[in-house]
Amino acid sequence: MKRFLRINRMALGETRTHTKFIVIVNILLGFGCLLLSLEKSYIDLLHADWMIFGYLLFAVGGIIGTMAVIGVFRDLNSIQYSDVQMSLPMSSAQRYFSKLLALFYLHIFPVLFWGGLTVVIKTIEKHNSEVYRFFWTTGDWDFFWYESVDWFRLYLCFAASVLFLDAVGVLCAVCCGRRAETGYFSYIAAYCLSVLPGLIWNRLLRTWGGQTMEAGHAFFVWTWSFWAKTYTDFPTYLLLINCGISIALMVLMYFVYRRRDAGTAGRPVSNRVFFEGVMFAAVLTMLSLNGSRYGILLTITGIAYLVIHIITFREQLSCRKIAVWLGKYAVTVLLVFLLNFAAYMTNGFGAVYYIPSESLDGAHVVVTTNRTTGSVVFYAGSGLAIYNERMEAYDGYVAPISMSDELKRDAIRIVQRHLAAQEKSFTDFFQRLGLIETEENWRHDLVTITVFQTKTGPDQEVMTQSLFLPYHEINAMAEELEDSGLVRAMEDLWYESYAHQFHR
Amino acid sequence: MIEIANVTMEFRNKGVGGDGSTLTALKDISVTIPDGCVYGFLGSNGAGKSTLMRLLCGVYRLQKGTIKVDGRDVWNNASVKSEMFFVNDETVQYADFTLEGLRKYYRSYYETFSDEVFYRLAKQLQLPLNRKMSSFSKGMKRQAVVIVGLASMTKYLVLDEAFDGLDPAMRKMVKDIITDEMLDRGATLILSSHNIAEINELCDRALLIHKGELVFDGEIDKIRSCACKVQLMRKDSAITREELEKTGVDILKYSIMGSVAQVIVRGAGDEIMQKISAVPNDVCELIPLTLEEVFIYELEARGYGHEALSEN
Repeated sequence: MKRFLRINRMALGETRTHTKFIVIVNILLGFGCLLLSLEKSYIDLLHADWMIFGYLLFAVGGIIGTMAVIGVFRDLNSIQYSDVQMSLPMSSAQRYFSKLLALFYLHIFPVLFWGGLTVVIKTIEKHNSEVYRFFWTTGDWDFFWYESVDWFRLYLCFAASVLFLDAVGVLCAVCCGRRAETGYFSYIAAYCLSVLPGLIWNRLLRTWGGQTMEAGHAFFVWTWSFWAKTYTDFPTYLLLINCGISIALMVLMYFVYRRRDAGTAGRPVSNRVFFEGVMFAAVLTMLSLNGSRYGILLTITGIAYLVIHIITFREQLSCRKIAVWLGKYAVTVLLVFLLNFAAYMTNGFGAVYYIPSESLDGAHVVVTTNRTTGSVVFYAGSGLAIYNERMEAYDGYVAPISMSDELKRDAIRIVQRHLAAQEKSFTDFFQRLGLIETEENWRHDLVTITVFQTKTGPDQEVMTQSLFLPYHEINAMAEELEDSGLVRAMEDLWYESYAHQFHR
Repeated sequence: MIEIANVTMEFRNKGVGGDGSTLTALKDISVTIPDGCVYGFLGSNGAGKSTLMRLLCGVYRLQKGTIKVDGRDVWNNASVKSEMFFVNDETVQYADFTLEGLRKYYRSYYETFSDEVFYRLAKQLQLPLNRKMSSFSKGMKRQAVVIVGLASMTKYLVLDEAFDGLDPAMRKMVKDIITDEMLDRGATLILSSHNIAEINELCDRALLIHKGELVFDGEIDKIRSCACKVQLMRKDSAITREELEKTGVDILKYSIMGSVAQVIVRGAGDEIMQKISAVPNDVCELIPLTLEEVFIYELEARGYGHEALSEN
């Protein structure tokens, strides 16, 4: 307790030196709270959707946390501040944790306070509304519970977003030695951390594994939660984990902070591993954004890569240095391509074999083929239905056979094995990456496996997998499925549909 | 007591954006600073004075050697740092503070901080308490930081170029305040300055660093007597440097004007006179050196000044 009080006294001492920031952040969040909590009255009064401005002010209030981090960790940015702060009677642990506490007072606490006030006002306002009074009188507690959880989730969203940005800010502050680098690296790192997991899923697993399902929420577990919040069903426990990871990172960064002295203050970046990591993540992020615009992305990313290296360089610039950085960029791009190629060769690092982990009892599995000819695409129909207990409701097909979970999985595995077994080539890789466009693009047929979750209705799709398969492979696949007795019930329909294609 | 033993400090320009070069700021420095003294750090620009001060105060982590303050390591040691106050050679970091804010800031860290001393000195120097220090003159900022340092009541006060920017009258006043406050409570004052007269006037002891190497250290009187000027005259022929060197004296500088030779010789006066008397002469006069002259001749002997001239 005595130790905490001492650290707290130091933190308050530090906090007092940032009065301007305190005023700014509280104005932003205070007005954000006002607009969010009094949203209904404002709409009535001004006929405008002010709520979005409330969210915006909260978002800005969170984003400017980087300024607080830079201010609090100024001893790492300037030798003058290092002289003052590092000579003060504190151990590095006391100094670091007093700074974290100062950051809490400066930025995290105002967000939690104004966010909490918003939630309280909204809850009171809602509970006083006629709708709520109706449910109150009818005793529909679930409704109340749902709304409360929703507001709690929003509160956690505020907390998670501020903690995430501040944690990334602390990471950058501890690894950089200049204000500018701490600032722009914080935003680059926050962006990459927020979108990269989803992009990796999209580019490496979804594209090359043929999965068309959305990345799970777990992929956005540590992210700027305003982003994650766009998923309305984003689980509350993941927001809590988000907060936990941010706090853990802030605590763990002490082990990097304690190694630093004033010698690295003023250097743009003091940690090479951090620098190279962020630069690689940034290139990977940019090149994962859109496969069909590789030329533009390569150029823009290359320019940004070069500019950052020039800014962070501390010596006399030379043509040789610039050539080295361009070479480094080429190697980084090559690594990204190699990563993609590895994903291509392994069919999305084995994602092609992905089967939903939950039971397939009560689900139906549909395999369809799309035959493409020239530039004309036509649909060959749902040629192969492995198991479609509810097909009558879905597509008018009758499938009276009940199939066990295991048999459905066997059927899916056969199709997936055929998908994975297709021939690999550089031409095919670059074609599918969008870098080459030739007639070859039309030589494959699309095979799609769709698993429909029927427990809550046939519209609930739990997995879709689409991959191109050579024409002869489709035949082989169909034969294997037939031989294994998995499509017996639909074979007539299948052959009829398929034969129709052959004879065209 | 501060014991500095075999301290070497290198700045490596490696990592992101660096060229990998190494600058040796301090080479094998060993000095002892006794309690209760006023110790001056002398040296040319970039000699390593500020680096040594930062090592003393735990701003830099020690690479080689040891620094013990009353037998304890200083790096990452809050209890040792609570007995030290460091004022560096810049004031830009205090621009956003008011003097009152600065008091509150340092009060949060130094448990020994004395409001009484702070307000008394602020009043004595007529410094405004609630005005932003960005509007202060350089001299006023210096005074402000010095009074905060004194009010922190630490055992050691380390001032890097503390009197820089002060006019002569204020310089004297601040010096008087520092010496009165520090000496009254037996504290140790360590200061660096380019103004050798100031060091000479204030300090009991001093050290001279050049290019990271310790040239001399010790009591000021002893430093002054470690070299002296000798004027020699011989009517028939001028006394040459070679003649003098044959006697075994360590000559820092030799010059001749007509028949009068003037030499700066390292060593004690009596010993020098004894050796030089072996050279036939008509007049031989020993003139004591000031600290400033010792500083200049020692640095000249190491090529300082000449290098700059030859570079230009």
